Amino acid sequence: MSTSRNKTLTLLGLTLLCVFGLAYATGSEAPSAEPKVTASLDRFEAFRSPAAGELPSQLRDFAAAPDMQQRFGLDVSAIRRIDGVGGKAWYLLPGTDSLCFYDGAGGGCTSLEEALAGKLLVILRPPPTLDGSAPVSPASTRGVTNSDDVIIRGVVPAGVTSVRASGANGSSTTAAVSGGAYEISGSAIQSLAFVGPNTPAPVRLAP
Amino acid sequence: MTAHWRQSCALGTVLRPRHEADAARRRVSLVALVAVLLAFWVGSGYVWPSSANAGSDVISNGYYYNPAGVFAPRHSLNKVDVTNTGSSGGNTACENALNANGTWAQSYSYCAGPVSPWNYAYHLFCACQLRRGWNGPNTAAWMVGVQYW
Repeated sequence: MSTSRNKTLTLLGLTLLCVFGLAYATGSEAPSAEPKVTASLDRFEAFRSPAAGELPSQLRDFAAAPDMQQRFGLDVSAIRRIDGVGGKAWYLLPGTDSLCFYDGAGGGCTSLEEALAGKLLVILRPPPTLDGSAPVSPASTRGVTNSDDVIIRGVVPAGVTSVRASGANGSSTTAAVSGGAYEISGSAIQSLAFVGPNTPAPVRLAP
Repeated sequence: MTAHWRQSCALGTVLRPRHEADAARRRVSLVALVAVLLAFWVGSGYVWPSSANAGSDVISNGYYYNPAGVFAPRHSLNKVDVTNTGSSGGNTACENALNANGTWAQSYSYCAGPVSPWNYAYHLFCACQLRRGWNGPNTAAWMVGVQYW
């Protein structure tokens, strides 16, 4: 009698441990099944449309990877596709109070607050010109030349129609915003200013 | 009950039922243990490394002032990233990868600028050839970069 009762209690205990263990593990780390489309996120035009259907497998793997889940809590089900620069498919990836973009090869991430301030961008620079010798160690140092020529790719909230970049020599260039995305190039760009009916403050790129 | 079992064992007449009961208990315990481990394994799948990345190497972690940058060991990369952890303006932290033949995998390095705290930039790869992940500053920058393979 007591053996049977002990067995029942043991099974009951282990079952409860399983249930609580599963609930703890999934509840503490897994992203919510509900898309995290908040009012702030809605300020990006892309989030006023349905989520993207088919995603490039590389992008899906990237968004679901453990490091991206831990860092940004990306919600794969809420990814939006936009017609980015030149009509090329770009994607917006919302996370826990954060936002990332993917331009077909790479991209950037920042907090949602910074993204709303026009600071969701990456700076593309030509790689350094090395002296031609193959790297022989993980920390090799070699001759190098750098260029001040840059391309800036970014995503802005609704209300921004174009972006103006100002260079160190006083020059400026302007690029149109398409689907909330832009690409602008120049030399030694110091700041970005946003043009449109509802714009964030200018962003400084240099001291 | 206890006296009955002790007596039975002592007499050697009903050993089989006790062994079967012990074996049943062991089976139940084993199944329960497997269930517990399975529950934690499934539940914590977001914490443990998935099959998406077999491994990763930290390329940079600290202050770097040589634009030649630093390289990581050679792997079939699927991502290289960089975080600009500095607060001073004007410095960008970049990522790229070097092909086995010494050419750059990206025509442009993706760089995290000083525009927002802990700005993050990344580039994805096909994992179809061996490359060395690279991190470097345009002048000098605090950065953390990782290659995934």
